[in-house]
Amino acid sequence: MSEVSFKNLIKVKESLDTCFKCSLCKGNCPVSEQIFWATFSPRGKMLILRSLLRGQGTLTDRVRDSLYTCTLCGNCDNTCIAGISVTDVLAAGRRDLYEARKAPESVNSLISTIKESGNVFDLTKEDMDILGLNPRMKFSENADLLFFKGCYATYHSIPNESTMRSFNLLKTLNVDFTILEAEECCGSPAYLLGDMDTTKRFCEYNVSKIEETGASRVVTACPGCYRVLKQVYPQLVGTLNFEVIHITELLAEYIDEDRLVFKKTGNDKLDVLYHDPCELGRHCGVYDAPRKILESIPEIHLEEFDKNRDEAKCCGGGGGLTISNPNLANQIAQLRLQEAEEKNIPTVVTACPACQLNFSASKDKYNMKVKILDINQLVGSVKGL
Amino acid sequence: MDVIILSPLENVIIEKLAEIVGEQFISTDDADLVSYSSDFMIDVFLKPDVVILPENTPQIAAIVKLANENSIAITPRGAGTATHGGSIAQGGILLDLTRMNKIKELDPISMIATVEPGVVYEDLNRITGKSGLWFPIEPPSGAVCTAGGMVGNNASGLMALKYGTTKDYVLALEVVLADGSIIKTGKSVLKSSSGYDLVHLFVGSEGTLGIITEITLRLIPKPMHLSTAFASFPSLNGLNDAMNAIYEIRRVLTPAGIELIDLQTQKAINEVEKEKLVPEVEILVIFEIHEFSAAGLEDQKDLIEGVARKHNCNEIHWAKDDEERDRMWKARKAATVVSVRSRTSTLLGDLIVPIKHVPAIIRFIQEVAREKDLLISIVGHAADGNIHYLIPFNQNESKKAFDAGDAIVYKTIELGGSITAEHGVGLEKIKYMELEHGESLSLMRAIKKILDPKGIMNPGKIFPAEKQ
Ligand SMILES: Cc1cc2nc3c(=O)[nH]c(=O)nc-3n(C[C@H](O)[C@H](O)[C@H](O)COP(=O)(O)OP(=O)(O)OC[C@H]3O[C@@H](n4cnc5c(N)ncnc54)[C@H](O)[C@@H]3O)c2cc1C
Ligand code: SF4
Ligand code: SF4
Repeated sequence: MSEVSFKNLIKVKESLDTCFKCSLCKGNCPVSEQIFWATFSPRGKMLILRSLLRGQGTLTDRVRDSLYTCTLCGNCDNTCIAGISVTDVLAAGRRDLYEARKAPESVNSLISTIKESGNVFDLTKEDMDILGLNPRMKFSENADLLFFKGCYATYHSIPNESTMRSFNLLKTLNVDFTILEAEECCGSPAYLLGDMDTTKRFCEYNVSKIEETGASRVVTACPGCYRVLKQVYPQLVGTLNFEVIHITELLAEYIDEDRLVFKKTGNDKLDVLYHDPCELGRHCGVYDAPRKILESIPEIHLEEFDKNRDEAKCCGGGGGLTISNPNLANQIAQLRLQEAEEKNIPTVVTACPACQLNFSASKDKYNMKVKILDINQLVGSVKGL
Repeated sequence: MDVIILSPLENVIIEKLAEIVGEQFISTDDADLVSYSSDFMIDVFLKPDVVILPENTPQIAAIVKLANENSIAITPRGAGTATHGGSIAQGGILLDLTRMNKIKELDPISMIATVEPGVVYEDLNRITGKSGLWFPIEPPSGAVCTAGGMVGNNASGLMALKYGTTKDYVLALEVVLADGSIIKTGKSVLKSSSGYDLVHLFVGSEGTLGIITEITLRLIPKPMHLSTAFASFPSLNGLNDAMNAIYEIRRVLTPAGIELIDLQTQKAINEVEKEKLVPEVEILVIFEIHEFSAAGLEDQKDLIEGVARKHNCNEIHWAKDDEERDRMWKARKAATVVSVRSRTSTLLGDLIVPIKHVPAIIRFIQEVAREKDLLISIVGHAADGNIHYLIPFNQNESKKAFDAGDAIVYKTIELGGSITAEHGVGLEKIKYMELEHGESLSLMRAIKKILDPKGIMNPGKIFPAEKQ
């Protein structure tokens, strides 16, 4: 135990001491819905960390499993009646474990990949060309708007399609924008897994590259990038010279300005359920923009999950769970998708490449009928781009 | 009572237990023991020797039989939201029953459900709700607490005034007794005068008489029309005003719930929630009313409003929609914990007095707070006489906090009340059992002795464990 300094946990000691152990935070925890052991519930995690900090517990492998079996979805924060940010405590615990080289092997290996290749999928620019994933269009050099592509959103063919559709849409709307030629991972995976040094390294690199372009606005389609750029970067390098927005906020703005108008096509209405990504919704408070977009498409009839907005259940793909426990990540997604099937709603729309990928994997694994769409894919196809 | 010697667990027994439930569902890992080491609020941390998650009744019967043969303590646990250490164990086996979470039968015609003990309260109601039926206890911990724990504690909640407590809904039980035998007691019928009522002996027994493995519950139709109001009683005499209004209202109708929140707790709620969830007045009363017709609901509202205003209520605000209702109840649910954030430990009281004595006991608590220079928050199910008080304290204040708790309990007994209305005795209230029950405590001990001669079932709870 002495090998771990707990220097990050000490910073959140007050939260650990304040916890009343009521366990109400378990009520909407996607992991606790799948695993009965209290060890994996938010209160269990809090009790374990408290006992370690007080020198009353033993740092077994089970502690590591408990901490990394979590999507960091923030539902526990939202439910806690004592106003505790459980995820801040869990993140601190992960940092201490990671720094003491006690993180799971799968976590270390992913972080090495990101450090070496600059993206989560370990692809080079040449690989991207061969796979046809690089954008085939010209970007202006000195645009005021920069599209931060994000590795999750571009290095895999499924979300790549959505991202390319949003590029096309912006072009159709005559929006002048640019991209970073040598963009690197935003650092979100490293941040979630507990590696702050790597997060900072990517932060410094990307901030300097963005600043070189002179762009005053950075838009991204990935809620992971969005949260890290908007909330974490300023903590690491101070106030940014640019504003950070999510693509759904930009499109909602265009709708307000009548710059983006969806015309009636006479097609049948499509019922969709909108799934709030945790990073975009609970962590950054963006709930209205995606709904505004969906509601302004005449062919779309928007329905809500029973748990939506700040109570929305997680897709299972967050917090690095797809790395540490992919089966569990798929099971969590299955439960969310089952609601769509029970409600007889054919399509689930999300606004996050990680949700889209995990939902798609789960749908295939469990032979589900529901269709998974990213909002950009949907918007792009409605406009017939 | 004979001397009880409970044995530590030997590896060979752990191996046999693993054979019963499978390696995946048994652990002696410190992280697991710590995760089960405490329950709500109490500042006590005890580790069992082993945690087991059984899947069915035969497994439990085999575990209990083995424990009994080897004099090993066994503590059942649902969600562990009990407030007085009832679901924690010093050594021995901790039996986590949350894996047994099936609804075995839902009979919408007889309006009866048979469930395993690990079913979560709100999950059960989500399913029964599809047939318009309801298990109407509504404990604030309902999103996580289990049917078994509710029976174990005879839990009640925010609607006890109209709907009663868990015991009013339990028709039959399956129980694994201390020797590992399985009994079924009670029937899926609404009435029976056939012999002693063993069902209700187990309700509220806090796991000290056996492990409940199946519960048959009576359900009721869920009312369609609901409304909630905040009623403010601002004068310094607000407590009397509020209680007089409540007495008068109760004589003519039975609202689903009537809750009372004192000023200190109101302020704490607003502070922690960072928004003004509740008005800040001397006494705030929450009225919850349920009806099967909209017209009936309006009649109840008019009556309550008229009486409240007569007793100096200056504002009564009915929720405009479900969202506002939810916000109102969110505030009440938060009340239990927000008022104690500033200290390291808390003493939580759960007394109940005849309702005519509610003003007397509240005033007494306030006096004790002044005398001992403690901040004591009061929230309560006012109309049934069940008052919760929270005494937050730092370590250097622990003596005066516990002295205050003792004084309040003695006063409760003097007023003809009970030391715990719904949370159970657990570890914390054992010291008052003799005072409340006198001679009948010996009878309780005798019953325990018959059912659990070796004292393996949740030892150290309800009665002090007798040592050599
Ligand atoms: C915020 C908050 C508010 C609360 N408000 C209320 C309230 O208003 N009213 C109220 O009544 N309670 C309240 N409680 C206390 C508690 O939630 C309830 O008593 C609940 O019913 C306990 O259920 P559980 O599953 O958590 O049981 P546990 O805490 O796990 O167990 C409770 C007791 O039952 C025993 N037990 C559990 N399962 C079994 C079984 N299968 N067989 C035999 N014995 C068993 C345990 O040994 C223990 O003694 C509150 C708790 C919280 C956290
Ligand atoms: S962050 Fe989400 S998955 Fe992790 S403990 Fe909290 S509710 Fe559970
Ligand atoms: S809800 Fe908050 S206070 Fe309660 S156990 Fe969870 S973290 Fe602790």
